[in-house]
Amino acid sequence: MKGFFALFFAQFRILLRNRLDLFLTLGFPLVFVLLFGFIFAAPEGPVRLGAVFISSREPLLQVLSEFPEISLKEFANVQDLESALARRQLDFGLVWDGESLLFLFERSRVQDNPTFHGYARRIARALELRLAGVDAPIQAEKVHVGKLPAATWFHYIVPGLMAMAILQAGVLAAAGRLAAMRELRILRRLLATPVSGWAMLLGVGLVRMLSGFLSASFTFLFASFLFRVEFLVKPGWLLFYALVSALGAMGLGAGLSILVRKPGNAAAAGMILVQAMLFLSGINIPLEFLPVGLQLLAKALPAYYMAQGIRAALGVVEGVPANFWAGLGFGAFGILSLLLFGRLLLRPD
Amino acid sequence: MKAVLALAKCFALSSVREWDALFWFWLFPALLLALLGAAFGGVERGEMELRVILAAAEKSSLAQALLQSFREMAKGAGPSLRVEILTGVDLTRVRKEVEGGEAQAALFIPFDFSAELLAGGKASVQILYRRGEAGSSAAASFLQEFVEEFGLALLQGEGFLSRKIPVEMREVGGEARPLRYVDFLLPGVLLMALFVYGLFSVPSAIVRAKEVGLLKRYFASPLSKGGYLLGFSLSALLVNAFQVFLVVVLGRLAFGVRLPFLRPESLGFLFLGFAISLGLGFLVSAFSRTYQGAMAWASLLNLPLQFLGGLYFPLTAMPKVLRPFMAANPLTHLAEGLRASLGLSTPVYPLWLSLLVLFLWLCGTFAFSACALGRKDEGFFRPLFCSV
Repeated sequence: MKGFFALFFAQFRILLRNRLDLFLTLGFPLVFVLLFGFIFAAPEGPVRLGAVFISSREPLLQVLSEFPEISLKEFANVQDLESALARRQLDFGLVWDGESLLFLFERSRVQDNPTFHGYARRIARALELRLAGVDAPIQAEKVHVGKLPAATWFHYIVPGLMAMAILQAGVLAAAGRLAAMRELRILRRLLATPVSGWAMLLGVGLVRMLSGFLSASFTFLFASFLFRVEFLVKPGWLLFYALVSALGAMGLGAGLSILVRKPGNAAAAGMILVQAMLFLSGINIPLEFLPVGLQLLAKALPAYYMAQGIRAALGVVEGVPANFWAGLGFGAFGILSLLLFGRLLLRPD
Repeated sequence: MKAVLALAKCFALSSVREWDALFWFWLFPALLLALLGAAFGGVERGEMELRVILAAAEKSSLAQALLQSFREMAKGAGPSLRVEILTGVDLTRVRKEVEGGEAQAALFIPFDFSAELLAGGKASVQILYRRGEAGSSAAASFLQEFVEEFGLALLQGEGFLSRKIPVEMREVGGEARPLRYVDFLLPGVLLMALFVYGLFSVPSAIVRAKEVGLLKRYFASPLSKGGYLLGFSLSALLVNAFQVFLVVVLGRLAFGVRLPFLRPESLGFLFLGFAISLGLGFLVSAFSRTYQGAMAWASLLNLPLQFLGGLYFPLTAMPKVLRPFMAANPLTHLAEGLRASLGLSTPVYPLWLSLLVLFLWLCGTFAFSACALGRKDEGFFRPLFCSV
């Protein structure tokens, strides 16, 4: 036990002294939260519409007053409008000659244009109704039924980042830290001491696990305090998913360092695995956006369920049994891997 | 010159021999292009698969007509919609389905829908969705448009609408040709590849060599510091040229992207991207004493510069607070300039301003690194070639 504590504190000091590790634990969450927060959590600005009215502007001004999210800027001629639009000073443009509507869009805004096309169609429909002097016979009311009263894409990203922080720390604990210790011949010396193999494994693993938890906690705290993002936290579930994610990831890392013998390569392989999971698990890119084949692959990856589990634990989505069972299975896999490969992980060369 | 070429060959070879270098500098750009191209290209082509529920509390013929016409419309819709129709159900059940994530969105027709409509009043329907979730928001917008379209068709059928207004939609900016997301993405991925190579590979090699005392040995040989830098730059140029070639070939073969990269101005922006990335790499090397420190600095620079450089997405909707950072970011100007030179868009910033910013970054990074070269103290601007 004494050996375990000595190793644990030594590893903890190493973590604090290693600038890269410290940056990955503290700096990364802050940078990610700041970036995604400013992009996704900030209140959306108005949709900027530029218009040229060749004919009477009244009917269109009345129509546009039904769209409070649109801010209007008038232009004297079509050339000025096109020039402002091309330089992205506007979101889309409109020319009304009393008979027909011409909508202008900036070519390179390939992702935003479908939304602006939608606005254009709605404006055209509203104008037809206005000119006929009738109201829309059916009113559609959009009702948000998510668990959180105020949800943005940022609410979905934060738990995903937390899951990734834990997974990354877990995978790199075995594939990175132990491999580095082997490369630097520290492991060989430690094995010559009376400290047991398990004390060594736990000493290194727990510090890395702790760094993952710290990183996830900082992500949560930065998001909550800097952007006033509110979550409905269920502490028990959060702890469950954090633990099983860390255990499972350590198991993955252990498996990797068995497969990839060269120490430096094991860490690289671990990083590759983490990056692949980050892209394919619906953490950064919504799962619905991926082709069906990749969606199936995503659902075969533990990162997807861990991210969904943490989302449910923070009240962003409804918890489903699949997340729980996947979490339990992942945690069990981690324990089993460590039991099976623990001895191999501690090989001196 | 022989030593410089030997050094260039050595650095270039090491970038294909190390796993992490192989992944980050060769595979990652290709994977990123393939993944983002497949994901957002699919969305663009309407291949997003969404499940929507159309539910009616009443079983009137009007409600049925609304549901059936939606089913017909969904067949030709942008996203691939899997439609499930439920009749005689209450709001609670539908709500539960959307809340639980089984459906992206639902259209609920209340009990008094047809009575309200036939009485000449305004009937209302509810669209249930999960705000903030991309797929759900897309499905909800689609349902809303459909309801409006159906209402309009109803009025047209009754002869209430005097005329149909002709609507034309046109695109401006760049050169007049169809543009897909993958066309927009490819120049961004190229710049990312150059940037990541410069930012991570240069400090990794120099600081590691400094740490293990390899630099000291280099300089005990007849190789000059300038020769070392030249050899390093040559290898980076070679590797970057291959990277660009690979990504362009992948874009052409896998996604059919045909962009005029051989235009002099495009080559110029690519070369500027290479030079600035190299300069940033030298700067990070000059700042860092240890490999870990160098990687931490590189990571700290990498994320914000990449995300706020418009490499993968247009940055027009960014909040005001981030705009000064974007304007000072060399990647913003490189991406804008490269895309404009390829005829993909009209640049937001005037060309002279973009070139000025890029020139300042280029001179700044090389000047700071060169300054550091001359200093022998262990202060903040540690000598680039301070051997351990």
